[in-house]
Amino acid sequence: MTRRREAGGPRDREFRIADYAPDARSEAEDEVRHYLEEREAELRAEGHSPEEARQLARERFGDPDEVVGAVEAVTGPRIRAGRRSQWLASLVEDVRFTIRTLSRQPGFALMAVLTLGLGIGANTAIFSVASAALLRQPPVQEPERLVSVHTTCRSGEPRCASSYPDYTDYREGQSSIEDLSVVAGEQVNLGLRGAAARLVDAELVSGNYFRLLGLTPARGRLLQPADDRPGSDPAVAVVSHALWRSGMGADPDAVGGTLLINRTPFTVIGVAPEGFRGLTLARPADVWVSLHALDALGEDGSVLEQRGARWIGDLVGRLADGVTVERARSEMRALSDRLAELDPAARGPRSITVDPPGGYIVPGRDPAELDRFVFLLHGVVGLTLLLACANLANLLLARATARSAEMGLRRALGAGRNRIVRQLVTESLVLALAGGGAGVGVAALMLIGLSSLALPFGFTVAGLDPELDAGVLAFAFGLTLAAGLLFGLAPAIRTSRVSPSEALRQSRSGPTAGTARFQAALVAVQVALSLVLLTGAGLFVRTLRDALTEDYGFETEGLTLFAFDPSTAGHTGPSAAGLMRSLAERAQGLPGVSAVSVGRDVPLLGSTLGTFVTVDGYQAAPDEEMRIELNFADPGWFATLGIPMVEGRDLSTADAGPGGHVAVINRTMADRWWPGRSAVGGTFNIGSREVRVVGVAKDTRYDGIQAEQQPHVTLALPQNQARYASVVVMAVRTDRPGDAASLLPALADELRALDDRIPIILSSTMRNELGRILSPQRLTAWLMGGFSILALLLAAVGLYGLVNYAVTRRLPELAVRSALGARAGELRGAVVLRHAWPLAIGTVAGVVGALALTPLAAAFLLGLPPRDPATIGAVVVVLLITGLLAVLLPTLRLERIEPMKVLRVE
Amino acid sequence: MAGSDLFTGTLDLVILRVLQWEPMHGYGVGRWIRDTTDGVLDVDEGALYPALHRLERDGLVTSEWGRTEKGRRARYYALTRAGRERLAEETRRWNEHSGAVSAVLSAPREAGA
Repeated sequence: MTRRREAGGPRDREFRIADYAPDARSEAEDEVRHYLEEREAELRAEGHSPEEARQLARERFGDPDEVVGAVEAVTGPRIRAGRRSQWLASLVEDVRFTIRTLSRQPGFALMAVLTLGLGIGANTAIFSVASAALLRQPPVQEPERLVSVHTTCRSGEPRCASSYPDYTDYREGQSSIEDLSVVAGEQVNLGLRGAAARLVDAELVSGNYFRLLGLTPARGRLLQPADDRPGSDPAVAVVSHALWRSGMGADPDAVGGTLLINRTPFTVIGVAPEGFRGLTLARPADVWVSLHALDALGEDGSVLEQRGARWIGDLVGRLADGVTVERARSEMRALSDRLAELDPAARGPRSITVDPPGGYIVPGRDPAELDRFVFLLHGVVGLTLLLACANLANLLLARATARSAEMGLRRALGAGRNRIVRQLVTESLVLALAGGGAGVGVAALMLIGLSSLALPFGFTVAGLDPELDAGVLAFAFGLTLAAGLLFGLAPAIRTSRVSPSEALRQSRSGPTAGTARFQAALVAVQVALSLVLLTGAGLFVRTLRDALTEDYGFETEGLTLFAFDPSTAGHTGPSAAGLMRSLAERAQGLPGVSAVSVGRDVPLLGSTLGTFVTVDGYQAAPDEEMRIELNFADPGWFATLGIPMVEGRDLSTADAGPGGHVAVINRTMADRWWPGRSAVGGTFNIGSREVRVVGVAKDTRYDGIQAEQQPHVTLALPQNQARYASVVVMAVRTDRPGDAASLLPALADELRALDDRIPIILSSTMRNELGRILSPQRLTAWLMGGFSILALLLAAVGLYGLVNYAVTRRLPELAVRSALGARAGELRGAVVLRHAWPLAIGTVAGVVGALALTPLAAAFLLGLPPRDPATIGAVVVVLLITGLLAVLLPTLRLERIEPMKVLRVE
Repeated sequence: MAGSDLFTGTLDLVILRVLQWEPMHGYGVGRWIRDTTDGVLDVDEGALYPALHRLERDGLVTSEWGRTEKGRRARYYALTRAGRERLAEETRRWNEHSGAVSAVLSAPREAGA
């Protein structure tokens, strides 16, 4: 209100808008007051004493209360009737007034909208990912009654695969799960008329699968129990609606036609309903075949009879009507005990795990893990929004103090307290809505930016296909209103509570003690929140750095990986071996390539085979399980991957002959079963096969970056030719690490030149794959890092403002003390001690908060303790240094304090 | 408060007349009436306000909050179109009426006989 306005005049709209008080009585009182003031002045001017003037004015006027009553009798009913429309009109005016006020302070408005836009945008984006991941249900009947069933592992881990006989036992041995179905995900080579072979996700299912889900076909029919019995035609398939549309041109005649799966012709019997892609969200299926099609797919159908062949990743059941998961669990436990009694050897220590699937199933994992990750992300962005609100509340308070003259004037002129609160809250809500609008834009951008990022368990943001749909927008809107009230209400109430005279004083001397305390408390909250965020960021940055620089036991740089499965194109062992030799020769000829080898498993990317061994000359302890991870590789495998040999030699071309099986084992195995002596030359047995150790290699983890080191055996592929005809990885080492990725197109060309029917499963570099594995950590580190730095800056600005204000306000007092001989250092100490408490309290609260909250992220810290003292210590140091700088900076001018000058101004 | 129909009508008419030239706040209207009539219409000055609001209710004047030259917040009243028409009509009727009354009062006795 510093701007001068035109004097007087009933056309002064702005004034009217700001001070509209829709209360007939107080308006009438104000009119009467005005009359009496003027009349008194008039009478004084005529020569009456002030005392007389007042008395005379009252006498001539009559009883003011009676007049007001009479006016009210005329206007009261009218105003009451018009109040609703007036309310609306005054709302419109409030909004217009706000926009005008804000447009005069574009810097403030822009800052507020940006801060809020970031906060609301981040929350909206993460919410849309979360709702896609957690709230989305598969389009099946009553998905809430579905449960996911696993056989527990020997080791006691809750989720391992089941065998087909396990499945029939579980299905028939209890009644709380009314039907149970097999879902075994598998990639198959799909051949469609007129299209190149490609790999698609298929589900091998028991015949009751579609009935259990309660689905009806879009075309033709779905698989039925009759399709899954010996004697029926096993080569029948159901395709997804998406595949039918994109791969078959939505041809109605496609049903009844054939397609090639792993080179075998299958009859298409039907099209699944639109939108249904199986129960595994991370890998949407395009083809469903029955379990009895295993032989037709070129696999060994006899696994269905083997009790010990636990290969079925997931069982999905439907709870009987009214049965809880708990009851199903207890009945399954009882069943498991009965089964163990019947056949102790086959069951061993295994039990049965029943999980509610949480909409979709996450193969072999606890569905709650994804929830935890999403909650973690939500926690980060939620804290950020809180912080943005605290910051805005502080800005608004400072602004309100500067505007208190305006508020005081309005109060003095009769604007009610509610009226002022409403005006201020309207301002906050207008800001919040602008911020929310910007937030939706930010969210859309963030979703594009995040789309390539991987979430845990093979989910990618793009795969979840998050949308800014009505639900998400409603969330954003609710968040916007909540934020607006959160940062707007407190400053509004504080401001309006100030009496008019106080307000006028405040605009000169700064905030009252109450307001200042409130501002300081907000700064303390900012300090605490930024410390929590900084700690989280520190933990994730440390995890990421540790993971990226950790010695995994092999050379991760300059390694190109190229995986495919010759068997899907009809190759058998010998022809696949020939193909591999030719491809390796061609790869050797590519520029920059220094070594090429082929293996089944690559370190860190998962170990697929396990078996048991006996070691000659080693007496196993009674409970000892001599389990190993088993791999197969070509000569030069260890040199190609850069795994150093501890002892003995790498696999070589000499191992190609039939002269006894040889293996390279890892150090863990050598130390465990050949303690204190050399393992090279020793022998062990896999089944009836005797294997001789030719080398011991350094330990490398195969089954993920967190896996425990297991005994590991690498057999020579040339001695096990049949293994060529399955998924194999060609590892290509280049001496120009930067070029590793550029080799991939050339490798694909070479493979196509040799056999164009083989689909490529993986085409990547080790560096890329490591990045993909660490993507959840990277995502969190980036989010937390970015936001926590922002948070730190905001908190520092808040602290600076607080102390700067205190110094300004106490300048006269400090000047007096300086004149009386106090040194600048003492003055500074006094200011800091008295005004830096938000830093101290915020730090303590932040440490407590960090200790309480960081364990929630433990699952994603790859073994780093969540209350890592080094990280928390470092964060506290960074925060205190930043905070003290912000506190000390405003006190620097005390060095140059000139008492006389300061006091003269006063 | 004096409430005869005659008086009420008179005060209303006077207010409309005062507002004929420019919008004015309540005190301004009161002062103008006092200055012009020299205190002849001697009633409680406060009676002005119910009259102003009644006129507003009847759509003859409108009001708007504004500021006086001294910067004081005050309600300004202005004539509406209906108010102008009413003023013209009342003025004519008053003139007829007062003409008739003064004619009666000043007529010699024989004129009516």
